[in-house]
Amino acid sequence: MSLERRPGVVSPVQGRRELVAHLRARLEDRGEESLLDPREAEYRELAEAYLLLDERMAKLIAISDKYQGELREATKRMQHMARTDPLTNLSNRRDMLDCLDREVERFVRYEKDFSVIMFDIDDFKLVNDSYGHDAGDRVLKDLALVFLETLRRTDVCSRWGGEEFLVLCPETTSESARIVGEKCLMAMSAMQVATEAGPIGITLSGGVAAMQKGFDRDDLIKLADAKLYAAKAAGKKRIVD
Amino acid sequence: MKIIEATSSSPRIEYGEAGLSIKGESYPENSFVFYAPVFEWLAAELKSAPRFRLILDVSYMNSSSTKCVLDILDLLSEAAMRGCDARVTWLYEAENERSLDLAEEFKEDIDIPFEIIPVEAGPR
Repeated sequence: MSLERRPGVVSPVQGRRELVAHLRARLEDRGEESLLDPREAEYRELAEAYLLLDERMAKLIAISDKYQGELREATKRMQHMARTDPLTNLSNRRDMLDCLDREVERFVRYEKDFSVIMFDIDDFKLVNDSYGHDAGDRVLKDLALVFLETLRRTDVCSRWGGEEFLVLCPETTSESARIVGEKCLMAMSAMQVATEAGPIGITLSGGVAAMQKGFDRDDLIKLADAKLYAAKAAGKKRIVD
Repeated sequence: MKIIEATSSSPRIEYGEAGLSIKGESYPENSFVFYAPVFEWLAAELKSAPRFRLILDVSYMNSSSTKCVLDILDLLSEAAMRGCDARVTWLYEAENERSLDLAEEFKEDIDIPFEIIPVEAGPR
């Protein structure tokens, strides 16, 4: 619509608030005696109908806002839950897969180095068998905290499976990722997990893989898995890259 | 340059001589109260501004925020009729089709230059 065909824009009354104020004032000005003039009476009727509709619309918008707000908050909570591991509060596997896909795209387009570290808790089955599943859960939660404290802000840490954690290190070569992994191992070995049977020590193994040309996401994960397997085979408690 | 920081339900707003930018999600409890200071400033600024740039980067807005943005666009249209070089840029995440629909609705409503630009989602 062209501006010339919008006479409302140049009217002295602009916007809803001004129109409402204008109508109210005019209705008060003229008072009841205006009903004697049929044109004025019609105007009055229309103005009153407008004001009523305006009030109802304001109410509807307020109600609509309230539900939209609640719906938006619920959607956000749902989106968060869909991407979070409930026990550790880390990213879950689905979220990590999306992060990896995005990072692979960045690698293809900008050749940005990145690496992943696949961690696994050594002898986790023994923890569960000897101290019970509550102790096992405690270990997983404490380990998640160690990761959050030790990793860099740009790294993404996920609970990949039962006792496996996959960490994505953007802009990181395999040498640097190895150092990041060693720090996590050191931090974990420096702490004891409190269980009902007393404090227990936990060790980790990790496999590092750096993204390479020709790799897809699954090739990278497979390589990290193979390196983790090598770390286990070499006696656990170590990072292999 | 004045700045209103974002909250989980309200956008970050920057305004100054260069223009006005609204970025984030907009569903405050009372949008009319939230946008009142911006509106007041904008009405005064547009009385004399020779040019004005509005940048909208809003991924979600509720009904009353939509009404506030329409009011802002109306102010810009009026300023344009008085000779102000007023322009609008709407940024939206390429995957957010709802935002594109909304932009097109807004664009239809006014006659000032209105560009709609998709932005790629960045790394998180």
